[in-house]
Amino acid sequence: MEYLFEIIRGPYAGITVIAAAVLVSLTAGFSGNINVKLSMAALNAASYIGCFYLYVRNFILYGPYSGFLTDLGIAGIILSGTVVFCGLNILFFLSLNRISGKNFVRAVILLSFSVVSVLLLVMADNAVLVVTSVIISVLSIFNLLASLETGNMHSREYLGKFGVRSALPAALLLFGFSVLAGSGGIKNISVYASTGDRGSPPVILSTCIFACALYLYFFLYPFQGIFLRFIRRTGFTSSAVLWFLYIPAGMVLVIKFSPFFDLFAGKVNLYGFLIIAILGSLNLMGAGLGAIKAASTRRILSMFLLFQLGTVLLMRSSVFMDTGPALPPAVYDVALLVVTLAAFLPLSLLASIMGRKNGDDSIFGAQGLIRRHPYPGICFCFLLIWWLAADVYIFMSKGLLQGKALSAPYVYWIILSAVFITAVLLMAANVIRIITLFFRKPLKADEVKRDGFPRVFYAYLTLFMLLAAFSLVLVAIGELGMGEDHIYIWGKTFYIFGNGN
Amino acid sequence: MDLGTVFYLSMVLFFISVLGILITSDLISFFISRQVMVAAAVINFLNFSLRIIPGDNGLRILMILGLLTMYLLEFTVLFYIYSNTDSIQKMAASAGYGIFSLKKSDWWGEDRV
Repeated sequence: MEYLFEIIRGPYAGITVIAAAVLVSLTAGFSGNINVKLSMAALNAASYIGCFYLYVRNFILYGPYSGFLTDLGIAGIILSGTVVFCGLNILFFLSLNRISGKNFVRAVILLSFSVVSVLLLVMADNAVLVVTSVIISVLSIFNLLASLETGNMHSREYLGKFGVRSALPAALLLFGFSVLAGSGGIKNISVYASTGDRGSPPVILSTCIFACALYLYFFLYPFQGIFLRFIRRTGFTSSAVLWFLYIPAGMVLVIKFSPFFDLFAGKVNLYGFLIIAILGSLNLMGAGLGAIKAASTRRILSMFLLFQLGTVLLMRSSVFMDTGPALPPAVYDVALLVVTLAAFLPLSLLASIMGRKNGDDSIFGAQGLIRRHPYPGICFCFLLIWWLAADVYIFMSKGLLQGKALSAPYVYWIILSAVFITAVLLMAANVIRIITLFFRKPLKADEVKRDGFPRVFYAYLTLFMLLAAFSLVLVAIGELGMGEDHIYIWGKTFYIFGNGN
Repeated sequence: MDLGTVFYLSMVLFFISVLGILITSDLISFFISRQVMVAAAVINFLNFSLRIIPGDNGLRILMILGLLTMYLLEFTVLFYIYSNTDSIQKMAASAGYGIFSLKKSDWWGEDRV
């Protein structure tokens, strides 16, 4: 009985709800009835929402949870909410694109498995659970992609290559933890943030190995080839799984390993700064240049995501020279992840709908979008500009122009600013190119007003527009700072990382 | 051999595996290189569990669960690759798994499907 109570009050309660939904869905795994498929999708969506509700409820009732394997504080709740939100959106994309497919319910079950494994990763604190949940997450996402790409001859080869590459970071992580054991056994990750052995050689060596593993995990430059080629050949649902489940899972891992990466904070380390700054610049410039001539919307969006990851990397490089922000860098990772999702989820849905209408995913299919559909067109222009503006705001205003950053040596400050401004100008050129395309005359004038978007799409788009506009208003009146280290709930201040409360 | 020597040995194995992964474009060679990396990890786990923290169950559980899940992932990927290639393609299918891709289309312009 006590064990059951432990499950109900702990972080596993939410996962139990999703597991129950999966169990029910298994009974309809081979059903071809559209009503059954819809009800299974609705059941799983309800279980995701129920899962998040239980997370929040347990947090409010019992406070932060800390066990042998897990640690769930306010940061964990925010990340869990983000993962559940990603899961709901992918479920929506799946229902929109694949409802008529015969393996729809099975894909939904695999999606739920993936969401559960990423949720486990969010709450994992002990190395045992971190390693296991990372590998299981990659495995379940690979299975989901394989299930979605059944019958797609073009993507088979590249899915195999994707699987081989994504298995490599898992081996590196295991090796990293084996080295870490040399510092006196495996402790919980949160312990490393506070203990005195942070600077010991095994910890520093394992930090470098973890960083390499994450770099490979994200397919950052120069390893981007397979990621771009695979995305180009998949269906839109698979692209969404990669963009909004695989990449956020990696971001969760980056935030999880923050105590290790923060080892270098405050230490003047020229080589560390140079390596990370060069890699960050490579990603920013590569993504900015690579998107200029690209025509495929999936390729362009992938480049935009690589740009976001480059921003995360450049933000980290500032920590090496003490030019970094006063707040933990993980705060900015969370902010950048939320901005990424808010801007790219509707854009990927637009790409999906345009792709289905035109038969290919060329950006030129969206030419004249504002003349055909003024409301969605203006929304997309706004979201694209908002995305870039939010990036600049977080990096410059909250990162480089704050606190101790201003007292750092000017040369490093100038290098970081120059690289970021150049990359942003490149990306602005991409955004202007897309917006100009929206304003031009449609390729086929007789199609004006004839092709309508689904009604649900308007509601979906309005939701994200409101979210973006609301954040702008709050920032303008000084009630919300993107990239703050604390949030206010019902008059109480909760610090996202650390024990500020 | 003392703790330090065994650790250096595992690091040598690790660097050999990294070198293998960087230079090979063959699937089998790639997986062999990965196996060497896993072997280096196992050597480290055993070395530290015997000498630094004898009797630490956490370390053993991490090693066993890590290896089990990793081999499961590896098996899944290999099974997918080989079940999606016919017998004529099998020889050719194991090529092209180099970690770097330096084709122009990966950096600039469009990739033809």
